[in-house]
Amino acid sequence: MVVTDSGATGGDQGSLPVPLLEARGVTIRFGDLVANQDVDFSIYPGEIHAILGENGAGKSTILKSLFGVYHPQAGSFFKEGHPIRIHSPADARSLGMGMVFQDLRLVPAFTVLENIALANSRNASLDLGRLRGRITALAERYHLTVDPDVPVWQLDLAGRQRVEIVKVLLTGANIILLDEPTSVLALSEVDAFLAMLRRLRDEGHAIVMVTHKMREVLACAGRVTVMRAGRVVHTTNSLEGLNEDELVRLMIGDWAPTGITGRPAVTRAGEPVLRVDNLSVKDDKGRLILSEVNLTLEAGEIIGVAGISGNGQRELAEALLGLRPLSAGRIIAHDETLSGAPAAAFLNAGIASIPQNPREEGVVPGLTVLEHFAYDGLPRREHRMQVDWAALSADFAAAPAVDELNVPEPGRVAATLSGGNVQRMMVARALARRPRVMVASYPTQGLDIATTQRLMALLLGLRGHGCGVLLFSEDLSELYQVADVLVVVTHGRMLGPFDPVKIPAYDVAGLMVAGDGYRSNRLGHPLEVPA
Amino acid sequence: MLSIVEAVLGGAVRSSTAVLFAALGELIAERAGVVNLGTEGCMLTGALGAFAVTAATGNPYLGALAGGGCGALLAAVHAYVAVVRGANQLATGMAVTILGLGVTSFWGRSFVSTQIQGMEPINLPVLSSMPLLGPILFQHDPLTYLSMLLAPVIWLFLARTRWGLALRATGERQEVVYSVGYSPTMIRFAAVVAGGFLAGLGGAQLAVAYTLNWVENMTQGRGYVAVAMVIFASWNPLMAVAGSYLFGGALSLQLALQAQGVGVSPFLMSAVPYLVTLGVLIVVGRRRRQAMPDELRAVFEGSRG
Repeated sequence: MVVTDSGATGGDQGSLPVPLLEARGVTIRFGDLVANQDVDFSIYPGEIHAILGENGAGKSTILKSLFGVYHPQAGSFFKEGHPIRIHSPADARSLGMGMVFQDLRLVPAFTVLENIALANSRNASLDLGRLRGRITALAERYHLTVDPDVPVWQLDLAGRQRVEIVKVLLTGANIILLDEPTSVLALSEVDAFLAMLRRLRDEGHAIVMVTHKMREVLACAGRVTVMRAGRVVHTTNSLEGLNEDELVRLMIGDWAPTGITGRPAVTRAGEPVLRVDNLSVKDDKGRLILSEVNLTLEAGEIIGVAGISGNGQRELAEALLGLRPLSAGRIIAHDETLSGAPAAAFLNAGIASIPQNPREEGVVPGLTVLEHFAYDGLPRREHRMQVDWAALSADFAAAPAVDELNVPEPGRVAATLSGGNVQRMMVARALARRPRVMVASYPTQGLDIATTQRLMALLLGLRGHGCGVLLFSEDLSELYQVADVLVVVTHGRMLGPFDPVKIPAYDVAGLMVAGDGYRSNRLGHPLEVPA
Repeated sequence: MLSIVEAVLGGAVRSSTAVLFAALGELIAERAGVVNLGTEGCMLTGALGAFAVTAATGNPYLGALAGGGCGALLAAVHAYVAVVRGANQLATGMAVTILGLGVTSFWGRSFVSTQIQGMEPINLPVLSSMPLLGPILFQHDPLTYLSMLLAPVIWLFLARTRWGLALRATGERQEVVYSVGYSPTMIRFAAVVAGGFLAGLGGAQLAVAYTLNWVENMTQGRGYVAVAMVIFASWNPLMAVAGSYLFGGALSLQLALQAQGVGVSPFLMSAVPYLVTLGVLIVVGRRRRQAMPDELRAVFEGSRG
């Protein structure tokens, strides 16, 4: 019998066949840290099995040990009931596994085609023409937009993930391991992605998906394993009777998020802290990606920038930090024209940022958490021309955001941090600078619900202290939760400003997808513009 | 006049061969993410090995093979220390060159005045009788022909074969290579040893096809020029041919000028090819940096772009 959907199993353990792949009693320690403690996990053909849990719950660890990246101190693996050994990714591949890592494993300088050839070619000579055909056919079949001849460094994260998926499918893997696959997707892309997973499942693939998003679990998973603090706290063979609240309770235990109830009243000082005049920027390929952008950010205001990723958000954010030259226009902070000045001038003007790809743009892998705060974030502490680490440690411990966001211990080396912990560090550091302008690009990526809520509260706190916040996000519920003003980047333009109280979310979504055309077609009434 | 041009350009090709071999070898290593500053040492050991075996057997082809082997052997030292043991590549490479210089000076003393029967130039049928191009390109020793063929072969290897792709990927992101089931360490080791073999062949050409004698430190920094040529060539083997011939051209031209009795010190004159190399690097400069394999950034800058 093959498990095809949640209903078929009915929660009856006895009706399940021998698992395709099984892990029993897996324990993995990194030094003192116990990442997995006595974890049992199994996967059947033709099912989607979600591993749910908060950051640091050990979800990625069990996935990577199945794929031979980590080697458990205890525990055993079985394929169709027979004991097996998984020493390396090569072993895992020969057992029919394929994995899409959270930090995607691609060579940026290679084209899509070359990257896929690297993983798939077993003959001495590369038959690139034939492979190109196979990629195109596969991409069409699963409705994936993949151009084989584009260098990977030009793709955004969602595009790189599509390449990874094509790569894994072309290896002929029938067990597909996905580590937080939707974290790099735009909201509008998630449904299509889940539909693709269901299609793969129906074709008989076994899919393991790590996530902390309940909605995705409920939308596609047949079985769920919930992890907390390195242990499996619950495995269910059916989703029947499980709702979102129940899953949240399983994930985070008895602690419940306080949540943010309604937006605090607008207490705007009204003084503009950042002005963008008629700005145009080009992307890495030298194409104009955004033009004629006008924006005024006031003290104590949160402007939500909605848009599907890849519509110039990265370029705009980089321009606002002095990291990307403008093709036209000006950036003014506190009556000081910053455009054209070096990045240091932007920092000195009190502009802080939460970067879109923190690992690439903000993290020095070999430095500790405290060292990251020492070179940026905390005020300089020196004693006889040496860094005063004791004083810095005290400052670190005293920083409110550090405590609030549960930033990992100051001595941890950044390279060993999980995606969520890196994000906590970056956000806390940006907040520690006490910025006057905060450019936050997708700040909640990789964060669990509880931390997301705390982060949102912190952003509102910044706003309360007179900081202007520019919040880039694809998550409309997040934007509606905190933004005073919404703008939409789409099709090379910035539309808005809109008042979130007056514009319905489905209209914003429409603008994100269809651009200005949506406005003229669907919105019969003129859009309200806040004064 | 024409014959002078033919002589200078023909000489340019012949005197480029050693640098070209070494540059292609270094290119292979660097595409895998390893800088081998030991190239100079590999060339020297290759030159002595080739010379000694030729002197002993009378067969310069056997000698060339031995030269390649000696280069590979010394490169294996670099590969073991820098790749397997993870020592600093730049420091290790320098040490390997100094080791090569010392070893060849010591064992080479007995060969200083030895005479050998080296490789004879072979005039390729039909091609060599073409006007102008014939004497310039097609009246050379077999190793020179081999070096001309090698550049496109290496280009094809890198661009069109699975192992070439894996080698390039190792130079860009070794963790990716590991995750698809190759061993980056093995690939790097093999690349450095293969590069050393080619550098050794380069040294062999110098000893048994070009100068036909053994002189202490006879490579005179050609190994370092080869490293520079790889940068000039943007890590592209076909461009490495152009760079090497430019160096060889300057070498050949200054020899021709010296022969004509130009009133400039020969010591200054022999610096000209190296000045040309420096000039080329200044012109190429930062523009070409994007082509640099990512893993090399870790070597040069301590970080990756």
